[in-house]
Amino acid sequence: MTDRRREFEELVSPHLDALHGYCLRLARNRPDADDLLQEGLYKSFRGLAGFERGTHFKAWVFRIVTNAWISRQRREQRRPLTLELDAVAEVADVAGEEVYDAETNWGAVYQEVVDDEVKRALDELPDEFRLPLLLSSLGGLRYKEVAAALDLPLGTVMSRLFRARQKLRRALRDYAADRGIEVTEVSK
Amino acid sequence: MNCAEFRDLLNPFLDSELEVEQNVACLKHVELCTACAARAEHERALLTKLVGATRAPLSDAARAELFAGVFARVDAEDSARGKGGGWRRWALACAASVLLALGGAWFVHADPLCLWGCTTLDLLLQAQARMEDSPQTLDEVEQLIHRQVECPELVGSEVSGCQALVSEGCPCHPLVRYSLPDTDEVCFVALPGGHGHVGQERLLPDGRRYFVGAQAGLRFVGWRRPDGALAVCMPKAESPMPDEKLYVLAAALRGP
Repeated sequence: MTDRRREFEELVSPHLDALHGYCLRLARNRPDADDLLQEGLYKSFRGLAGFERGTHFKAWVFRIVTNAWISRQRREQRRPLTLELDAVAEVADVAGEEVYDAETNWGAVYQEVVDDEVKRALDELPDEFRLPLLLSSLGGLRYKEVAAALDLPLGTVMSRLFRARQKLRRALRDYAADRGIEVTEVSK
Repeated sequence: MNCAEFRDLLNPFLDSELEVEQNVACLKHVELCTACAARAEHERALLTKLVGATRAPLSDAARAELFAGVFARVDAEDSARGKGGGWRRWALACAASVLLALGGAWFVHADPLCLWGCTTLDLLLQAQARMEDSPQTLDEVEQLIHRQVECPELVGSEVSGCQALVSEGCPCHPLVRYSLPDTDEVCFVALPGGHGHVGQERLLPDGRRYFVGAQAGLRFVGWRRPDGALAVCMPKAESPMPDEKLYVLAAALRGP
């Protein structure tokens, strides 16, 4: 094996599980996720000369995988992948959900929901919210790095993360309630 | 800090994105406010749940298979390039001969790989002239020219947005234009392969090549990317931007 390939493996290996999980949640099925991961790694290897040593490799490789996924979406849909929301709808939505649901027993919700429900809730999130959330939580990217990866302003990334977590939380609460779990905290 | 202020900072607080002073203020607040402390705990639990549920460990065998697949693709592509290179060179030589036969003067100035006769300089002039225009989406351009436009790999974290312009009279090489959020004085374009160097080639101390030019109303700094694309950074026609600033910007875009 050449030094370049060895170096690439050493750089990628610590992040491979996270990348694999990221691809699974982007593609939503294993065969496509495997293809995406391989394509992302191929592009990363080809572009390794452009990686600045000493900088955040994880952010760099997540960004390339994200670009590969966006390109793939665009090819398949034959239209530009738009990550922009309708501004009016977003404002209205935020206003409607601003109040934190203090009556929910979140401890019980998080204790009871299973991994499959978390994955389902994630898969049901619109891309606008899913991508920043995955890059931030699973990829461990800084907000600035998420903004660069998705070509979005920093403020937009922050608001989408806020909204993504809010939607995820509520979906999990609904799943728990559907299974008959008592999710409402008794008023004291 | 009150509860509303804390709620606004909760996510960046949990994500360790706050400045030290704000972080300390949040820590103090959760010490004093049990409701906000509980809320922070719940949010943390959500993130833990999320990361735990989405982890997808790969076995050693799967990892090895994955890397083998990546390197096999690299080998196959390199091998195909090697085998096809001779044929391509031969075909190009024939094409060049035909073009030479058609007109030596035209050949001297035109891009030999573009049968429409648009030179690299022509394309850059068109890009500069259209700096005020809104770039089209790649999809629109693809529909116009009936083929896919590849975005060359981005270099430099300050560059964002990848859109295209169809160059007039040269459908073989649409320009791919990136937007620069911090300046409206500079146009950054990439010509995906096929176009030759323009301007004067120079050498950086580390051995990398770049080129600079000032001709036909254009000032530009450019370089050849690893993927073969020609990347060019240039200010507006009448921009007072000093050359030094242009060089600094180009260096930032190019990266190390």
